[in-house]
Amino acid sequence: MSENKNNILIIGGPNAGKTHFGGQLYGRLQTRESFYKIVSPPENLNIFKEVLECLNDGKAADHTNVNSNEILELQIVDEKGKEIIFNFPDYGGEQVKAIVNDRRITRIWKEQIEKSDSWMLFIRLDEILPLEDIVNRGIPEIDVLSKRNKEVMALKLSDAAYFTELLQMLLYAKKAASLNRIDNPKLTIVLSCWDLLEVEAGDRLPWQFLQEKLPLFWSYLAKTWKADYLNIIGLSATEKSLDIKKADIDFVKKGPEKFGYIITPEGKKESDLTLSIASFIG
Amino acid sequence: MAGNCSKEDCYPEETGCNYEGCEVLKKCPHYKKTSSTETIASTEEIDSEYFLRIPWTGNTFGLQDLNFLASTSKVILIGITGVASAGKTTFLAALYCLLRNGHKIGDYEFSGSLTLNGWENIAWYLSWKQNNNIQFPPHTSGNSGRVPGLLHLCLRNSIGEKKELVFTDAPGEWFDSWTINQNDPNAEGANWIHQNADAFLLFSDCEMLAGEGLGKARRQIRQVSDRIKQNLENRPFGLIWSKSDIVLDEEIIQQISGYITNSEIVNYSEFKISVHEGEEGVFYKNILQSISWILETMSKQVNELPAIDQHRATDMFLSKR
Repeated sequence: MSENKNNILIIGGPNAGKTHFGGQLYGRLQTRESFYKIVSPPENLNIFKEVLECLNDGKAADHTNVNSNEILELQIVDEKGKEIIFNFPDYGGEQVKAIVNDRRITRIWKEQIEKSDSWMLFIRLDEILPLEDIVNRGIPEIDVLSKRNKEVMALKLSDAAYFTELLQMLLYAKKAASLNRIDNPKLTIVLSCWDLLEVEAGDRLPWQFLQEKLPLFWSYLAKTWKADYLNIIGLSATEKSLDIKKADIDFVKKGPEKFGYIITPEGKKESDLTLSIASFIG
Repeated sequence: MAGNCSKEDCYPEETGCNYEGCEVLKKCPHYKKTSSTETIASTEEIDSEYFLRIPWTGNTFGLQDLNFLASTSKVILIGITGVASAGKTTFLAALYCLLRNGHKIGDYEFSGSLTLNGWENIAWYLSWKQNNNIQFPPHTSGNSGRVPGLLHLCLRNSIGEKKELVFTDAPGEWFDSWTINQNDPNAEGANWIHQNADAFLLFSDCEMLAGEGLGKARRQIRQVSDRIKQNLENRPFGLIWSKSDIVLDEEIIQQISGYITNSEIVNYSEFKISVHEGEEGVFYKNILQSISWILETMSKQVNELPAIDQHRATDMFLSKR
C-alpha cells in the first residue's frame, strides 16, 4: 500500500521524551544542515510551538496535554532529492498507558496504527525497576527483607510484560499476521535520555543494554520481528537535562540544534538526529 | 448470560463483540439496550463510544478465551498434574521467572503471551517484596469449574518456527477425586485435561515423600500415573521430582519410578527440579529442559514427507523446489 509509505507512529508513555525529540528533529530539519531537510514549512506548527520556544530559551518543555491529538505532516527530502512525507502525531503519553490499562484502542489510535508503516517506541531504561525474584536474586534471608521499606507494593505488571503487552495489542490492531516474524510495521526502539544511561551502558550497544535491562521484552522483540526490520538506538534529544523554569545559558547561546545525539544500532554517536529515521526510509 | 450481550459466549465490554465485530457496542443487534429510547445521536457520540477491544484479557484463559488462539494456531496443551501442594503452580511460576530473566527453552525463546497478567500473578509469589518473604503460590482453588485455568506462552526458535503452548493450572483436588472415581463430578476437570492434553507432567513431591506422608503420597502418585497411562499412546509423559533440594532414598525413588515404568510408556522422562537453583543451576535447567523435552519429542512425531520418486529436469513445477 503506497499510501502507507514512510508514515511514522511515535509511541511512548508519559515523560518518555517524545516531545523533545520532535522539537529537536524539527529544528534539525529546518536548519537544512542534516541528511534530511524540510521541503516547505508546515502550515500548522502548533504541535512544536511550545517545545521550540522552550528549547530556544534553554528550558525543558512541559509535558503534552493528555487529550491533545494533533498531527503534524512533514514533507522532507534526502540528499539525493528523494521526497518523503511523514506524520508526527502528538499526544499525551498517558494515552499509551491507557491502551494497556483499559485494554482498548480509540478510533484515532486505530487509524494511526493502520496508517503507519513504521513505529518508534520510546523507552526510558533509567526508569525501569530492576526485577528481583528467585531466579536473579535467589531465596532471600528473612531479615534482609524485613529491613526494607514497609511499603506494601501492589501487584502490577513488570515493565517487560507491560511493553510486550503494548506491542501485542498494537499488532492486533494492525492486523499483523503472527505465523512468521514481522516485517511490517518496521520497529525502532528508542532508548531515550541516553545521557543518563551513558555511564552505566559503557561499551554496550543499545540492543545489548536493552537485553540486560528487559530480557523478556528483548526475547519478545528478537523473536517477533525480523532482524532487518528491528532497530534499537540510543537517543539524547537535548544532551543534558534541562529545567522547566531555569534557562541553561550555554544551551541558549549555542542553539538547541548544537545539542543532542543518537547512538546508532552499531554504537556510533551521531549528532545528526535525522538519521534516527533513516532505517525507516529506503 | 454474559454481560450486556444476549449471546451466551460474548463478553463485549471485556474482549470485544464476538458476533458482529462491532466497535460501537450500542449499535450491535445483540447488545442489550439500557433503555428503549436510547439512540446514538451524533458522530461525536459515536467517537466516544468507539473502541477497538482486545480479544484477550491478559488473565488466565478459560475455555472460551482459547477460541481466539486456537482458531489461528495449533495449540500444544500441556497437562500439569499431581495432587494438592505438589508444586504445580510453583513450577509454572518458576518457569515464567526464568523466561523473564532471559532464559531459553532449548532453542526456543519467549515470543509473547496472551496471559501475561496470569503469569505475573503467580510469579509475584516468587518475587522479592517489601516486608514479606518469598511465599509459595497458595492453594489453587478447587471450585474453579470444569476447565482448569490456562496459561499461554508463544515460543519461537532460531529458524523462526512458532509454538503456542498452553499449560493447565488445576487444583490438586481434581486429581485426588479422579484417582478414586473417574466419574466423580469433581474429577471432570481432570478428565478434560486427560482427554485434551498433548503432553503430561506429573508432580512427585520430594518433601512429602521424605516425611511422614510417604505412604499417602506414594499411593497418590502411583494412582494418578495409572490414570494418565490409560489411552496415553505416544503423548509425552514426564515425571517431575519437585522440591528436589530434599534428597530422597533411592528405594523410594525406585518404588515410584519403577511402578510407573512397569508397563511400557512410549515417551517417558524424569526431571529433578526445585525453586532452589541447585549445583550449577541444575534444578532450574531441568525446569526448562522438561518443556524442551516435550517440544522435541512432539516434533519427532510429524509424518515424513512423501518421497517424490522421480525428478525430471524438464518439469518446471517440481524444479521449483
